[in-house]
Amino acid sequence: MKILKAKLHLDVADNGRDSILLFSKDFVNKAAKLGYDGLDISFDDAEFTISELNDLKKYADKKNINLVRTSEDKYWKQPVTEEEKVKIRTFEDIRTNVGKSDKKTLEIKEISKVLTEIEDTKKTRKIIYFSGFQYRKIYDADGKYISRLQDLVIDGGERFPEVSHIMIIQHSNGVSKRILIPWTHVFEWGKYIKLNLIDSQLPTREIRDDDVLLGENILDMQVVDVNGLKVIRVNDIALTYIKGKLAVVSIDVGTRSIFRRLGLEPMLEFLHWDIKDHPVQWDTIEPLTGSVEKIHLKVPCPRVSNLHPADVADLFEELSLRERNTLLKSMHSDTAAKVLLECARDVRGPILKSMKIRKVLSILDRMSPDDAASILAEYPVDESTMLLKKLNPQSAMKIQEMLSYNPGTVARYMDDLFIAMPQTFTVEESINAIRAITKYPDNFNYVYITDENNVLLGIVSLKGLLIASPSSALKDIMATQLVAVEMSHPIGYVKELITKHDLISLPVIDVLGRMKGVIDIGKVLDVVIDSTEHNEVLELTDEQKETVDKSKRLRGYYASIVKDIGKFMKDLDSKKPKKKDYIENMTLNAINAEFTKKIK
Amino acid sequence: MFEGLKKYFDKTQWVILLSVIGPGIITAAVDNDPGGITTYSVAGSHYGYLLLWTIIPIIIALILIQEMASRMGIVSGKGLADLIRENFGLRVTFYVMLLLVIVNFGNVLSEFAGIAAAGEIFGITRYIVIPICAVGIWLLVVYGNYKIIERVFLVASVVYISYIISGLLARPPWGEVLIQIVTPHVVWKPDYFIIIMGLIGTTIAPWMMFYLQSSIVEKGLKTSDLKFSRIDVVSGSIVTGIVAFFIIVACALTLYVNHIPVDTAEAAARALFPLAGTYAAMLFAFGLFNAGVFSAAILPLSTAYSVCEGLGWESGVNKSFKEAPQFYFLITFLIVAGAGVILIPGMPLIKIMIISQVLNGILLPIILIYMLRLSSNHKIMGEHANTRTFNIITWFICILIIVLTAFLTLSYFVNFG
Repeated sequence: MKILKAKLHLDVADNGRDSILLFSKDFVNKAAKLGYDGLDISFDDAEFTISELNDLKKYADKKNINLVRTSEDKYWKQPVTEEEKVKIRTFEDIRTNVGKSDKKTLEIKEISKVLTEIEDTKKTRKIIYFSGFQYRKIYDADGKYISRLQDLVIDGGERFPEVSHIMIIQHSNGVSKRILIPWTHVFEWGKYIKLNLIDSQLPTREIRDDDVLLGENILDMQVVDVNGLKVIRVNDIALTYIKGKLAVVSIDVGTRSIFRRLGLEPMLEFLHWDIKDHPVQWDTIEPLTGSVEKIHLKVPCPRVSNLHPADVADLFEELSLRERNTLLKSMHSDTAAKVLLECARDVRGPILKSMKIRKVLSILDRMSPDDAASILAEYPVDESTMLLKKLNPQSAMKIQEMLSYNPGTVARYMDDLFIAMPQTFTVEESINAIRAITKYPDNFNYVYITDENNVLLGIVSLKGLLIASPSSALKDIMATQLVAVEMSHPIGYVKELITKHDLISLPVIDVLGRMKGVIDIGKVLDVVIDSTEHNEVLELTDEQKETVDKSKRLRGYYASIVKDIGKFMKDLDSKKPKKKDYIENMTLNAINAEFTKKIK
Repeated sequence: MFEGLKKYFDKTQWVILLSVIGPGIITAAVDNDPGGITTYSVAGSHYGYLLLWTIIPIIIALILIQEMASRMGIVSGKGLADLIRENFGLRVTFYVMLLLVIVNFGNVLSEFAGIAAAGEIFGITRYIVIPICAVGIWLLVVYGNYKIIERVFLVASVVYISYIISGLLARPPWGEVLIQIVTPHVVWKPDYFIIIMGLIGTTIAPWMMFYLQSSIVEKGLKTSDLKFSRIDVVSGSIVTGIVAFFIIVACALTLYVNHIPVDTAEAAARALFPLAGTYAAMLFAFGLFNAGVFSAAILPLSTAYSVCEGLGWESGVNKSFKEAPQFYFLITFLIVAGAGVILIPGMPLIKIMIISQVLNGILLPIILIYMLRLSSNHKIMGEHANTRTFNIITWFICILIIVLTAFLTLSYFVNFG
């Protein structure tokens, strides 16, 4: 058996009895690390008590170290016999003379030399609660009382932020200042806090606005639990030593913390009430700011921005108006736009009304016209007109067009952005073309094949595009049995088509068969789920069914006219105005006239 | 505030006003819960017009304090318990919540006492009325739709007009009454001061402050709505004052004059005799019942919300029992224990109602101190923090109530001649 023998000089009177076990356990760790099987540890000025010995033995057993005594002293159960091969190394020069102020800085180096091989030994991975820290007395190196610890400053940004300073309040000339002392000057903490310099030598600075205080900014505040997607209140803060530095590891929201902070934890033991701690890890929470002033500060809410907009919208319902605004302000306008769209109307209204106009405009700009139109519809008329005037003219025009359509019709819900290709393109050419596009529609599931007049000829799904051979022409792979709706069709008809044909989006065409936009199942679902909010009738009335049928028939006729006229135009002199314009310039009456002529 | 009045002719402003109004009016209506009605009746029947002078100062205090609560709710967007927790820490919050639960329990007792008294006027024993109502209220709170409850209650509160009409029909000597309103009296009997404390406590109940601020936050009002909120608060308070006035006058004219002290609900009902004759009792009982049931529903709910808000527990009727255990426990405990205590034989109903309002008055300064500190804090309130004048007046009121409390406690040990 390889035995490590250690004899320590410990000023137990100064350091308290806890230091005996602390250092003994250190050495058990050290022995284990260095590959010893046995440890013989004794102190110059103290003896183990039986309970301490049992405690140490349990600890040593866990580390597979045998506690031995290589001399004839008492209290040991396992004497080493002389027959056993013993390799003894002594560490007798280690003098751990902690406590004598003159040699303090020297001792610190020595201790750290001994202890650095073992990480975090003195303060073994124990959870320290912030509530235990607050208001403890602080003494300097000479033992002079300085003040009480008011708060701790943490270094934000890390996954587990480190404690950087302690804060005290100094009163001078009737003015109270909040002063910070770097944490590195804390020599020891426990029932009280001891610094390693004397008062006059301490490097202090006054607190700045961007310093994050545990007590003031985090404790008792509400924070967002990004995992649980709810708002929770910090009852206590848990810190521990990570790589030799004190850092915040989690917050506690459990009821046990309430008891602890009130000093009533013994009562829990007494009543055998096993209330567990309820920690939430620091890297899954997002602090919210409380006071009017501090809203401008740090915490850019990175974690919340990573959530799905619908989840954030859910979260919004739990927050107060001010907290919602803080979160929105810190989000990029794109995310904010998506979140707002997911919010319920009664949540959205107050937020929009309290936002700055500029932000509202930038959000509206980023939305598709139908979404922006539905948001604007929630404003009173004069306000929405004013907003429209301030938007950039292109978006404003599209939105106004949207608003002019009857609610409950396809036109109001369609997205006017879609991807169209000529039928002569090959699959490879179309994929390249798609890649070159800068702005994609919100829901991009199909590619629409149109002719030079923008009339819909066929549809290719993205799946179809991917699996076809790159050299095949679109006209060969496209589906020509088209299911489409017109702008004036009621939303209920879309629902019918989508359920009947199992589609996810439908092309929207005008009466001449030209592509106008796409309507997506998501919009229909919104209406279906929220039919009270949208006041739409989803089942088609008989009248509506008739209108739809009529328009389908008419469309067929118009399509044939357009084809013929188109062919006719082709034979004419090319100096004539563009065919497309020509057809558009024909009124419906004129086409009707042509049609009646044709069937006669 | 006066610019607000001028703009009354502008239609949009009316629309905003109507949308903002609500919390102040409801709080006023709730002011006339059984505890309130009883206290006002006792005041009138024991001392005639001698307590009328307290109405105006109490209403002024009510306006100031409620304005503070609504302003805090609008500017900070948080409830009162929330603000206390974030600014004064857990310890303070814990003790305040403890006191609130105790005092609110007293109030719940008083609501059930009112329900029992109303039942007895109809001749139904409390042992039937209370259990049925307790279960009904519990179901209402846990499964009911709050908005509908609110509306039904408001409509039924119209019954209090009966006191006004009764008071008018009894033809009070207006000259004398109006003089009495502005003439302070002091009767050196402990009973007198107890009733004053009860009047303060029932009109400015601490739980109402939490409730008012929470409903304002729920409405999501902005700072531009402040002036309308003030109108809401002022009108609600004035209505409270008027109803209180007429109850006292009605009781003074009918009961005091005939030396009938109010120690049972029937005696209080008798004050409505000039109006409703034999139906006086019924009318009174109906009002009492209505007020009792509604307040017995609101109080546990509001208490549970405030406590959970302050101590960081889950709350909300949309959550299940498992998700928000402390919330549901509080509600159930308050209702069950409240109803249970009333069922103990020999419980003096009227006495309970008065004492619970006195307790309100005693807790009030404590809450008030925190409210004052919060609403004067520029970090929370920005530019809407209390003005110096406001602070001086309100602190003065606060100190006055504390002195009165000290006086009362003293009077238990030292007898006046």
